Amino acid sequence: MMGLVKKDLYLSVSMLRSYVLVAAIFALLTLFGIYEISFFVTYISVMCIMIPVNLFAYDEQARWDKYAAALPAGRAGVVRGRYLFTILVCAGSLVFALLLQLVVSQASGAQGQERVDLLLSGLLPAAYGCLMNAILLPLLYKFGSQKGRIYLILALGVGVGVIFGGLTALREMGLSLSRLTIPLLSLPVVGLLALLPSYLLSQHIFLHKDL
Amino acid sequence: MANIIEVQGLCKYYGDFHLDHVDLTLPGGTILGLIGENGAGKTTTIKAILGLIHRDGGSVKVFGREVTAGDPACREDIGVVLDESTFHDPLRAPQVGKILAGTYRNWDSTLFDAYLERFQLPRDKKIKEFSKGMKMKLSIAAALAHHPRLLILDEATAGLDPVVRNELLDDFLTFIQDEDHAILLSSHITSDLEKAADYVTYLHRGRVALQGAKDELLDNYGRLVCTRSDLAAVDSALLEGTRVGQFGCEALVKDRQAFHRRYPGLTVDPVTLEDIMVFTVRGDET
Repeated sequence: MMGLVKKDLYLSVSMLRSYVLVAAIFALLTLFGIYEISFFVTYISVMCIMIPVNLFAYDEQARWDKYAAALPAGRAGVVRGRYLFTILVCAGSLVFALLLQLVVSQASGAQGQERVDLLLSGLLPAAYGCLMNAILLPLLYKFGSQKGRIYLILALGVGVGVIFGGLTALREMGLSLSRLTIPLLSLPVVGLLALLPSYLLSQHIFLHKDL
Repeated sequence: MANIIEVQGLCKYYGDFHLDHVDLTLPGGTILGLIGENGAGKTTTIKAILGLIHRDGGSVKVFGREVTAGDPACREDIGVVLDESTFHDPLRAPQVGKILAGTYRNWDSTLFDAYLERFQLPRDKKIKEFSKGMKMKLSIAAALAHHPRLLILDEATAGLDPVVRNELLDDFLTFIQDEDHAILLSSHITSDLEKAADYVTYLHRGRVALQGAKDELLDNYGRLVCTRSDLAAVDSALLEGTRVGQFGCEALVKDRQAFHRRYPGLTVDPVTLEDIMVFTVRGDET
């Protein structure tokens, strides 16, 4: 099964170049204070779902699923590999976002509550990635990446609305994220837990599919 | 000699097409050629053997074990080449090797590299830059590099040049020298099967139209070339299919010896697998 995760990694690296370039530009603009940090957080969140969705498209184009299902890992291994890779993407986004928030807080000289707020907002991409992938992955297994794009657009809309809009609204209302510390800290865990029923559902869908 | 694959009464319904009670057996140490026109059900049969589709009836056993979609047992021992390249365009051949090394316990990187070398597959080019033949060679290298006992090859020789095709057929013949090994090879290129196959199953419109030992089939069947009046005098029960043309008639004779005894004045030529296919598909056309 690790071969299947490796395959996702190779493909992601091949598409990551452009994503990383955009991320680097956003990161620089954020560090120089041109963009709000919430903008960058939203971008990382979007990447958390764009990467798994694009992998589905790649697999469909190559007709990989029927070959992969004939490998020793079988259909169960195919789904397990994809979920494991999704968790790795979300974990990576968590580390990346938290590191960036640390750098931003250092660079901007943020102290106390402001610093805590920055770090808390770093939790959002991973939480959003886990939650949205928990919904999207079974839909992609069921309908494929073409029909699944409708759900992707919905997920992106929710992401931009909730994270970017939410962070902006809280700031304008003068409310601090630290008031929501416990819910925010629990969000990535909730997202991770949501992946479990999602995984079981995807297993069921993929097992009953003719390839 | 144990059977490696046993298919009995395999049915699969797709609305406008269905596999209708397909039976086939692949004994160890042999190659079974699966032939048939496009849409005859070859790929569907292979998918059922690999557990990629859910059967509507019948039984499929590989290495004596019933195949189900959820049970990947025995797949360590199966090398698969599907009818199209299934490796992603942005990948390179060595990456494919690394992916499969993490998938098969018996993956042999040295053997895979040797096949890349032998097939002259570039290591630094992306698969999207490969020709159709190169993609097929990569799939074959991947199928062979984990020391399988069973090879399932769907149109694996298509797109290859005659030299490579012949080398591969020789490899296949070497592979089945071990009686624990076997190959199921579906192909449109019936000359390949005439060279390599021990048994032939001919699928026509989802049903088994003909099957048996290849040499027996080629010995028993014959091609009658005659005039309209000769054909009219022949007992139609001895013929599998006829083709009436402007300048003469042709017919597929089921039993060459019996026919010769009954009609010693008519000449019956040897047939090829392609003749058998063509007569069955178009035999009644004029």
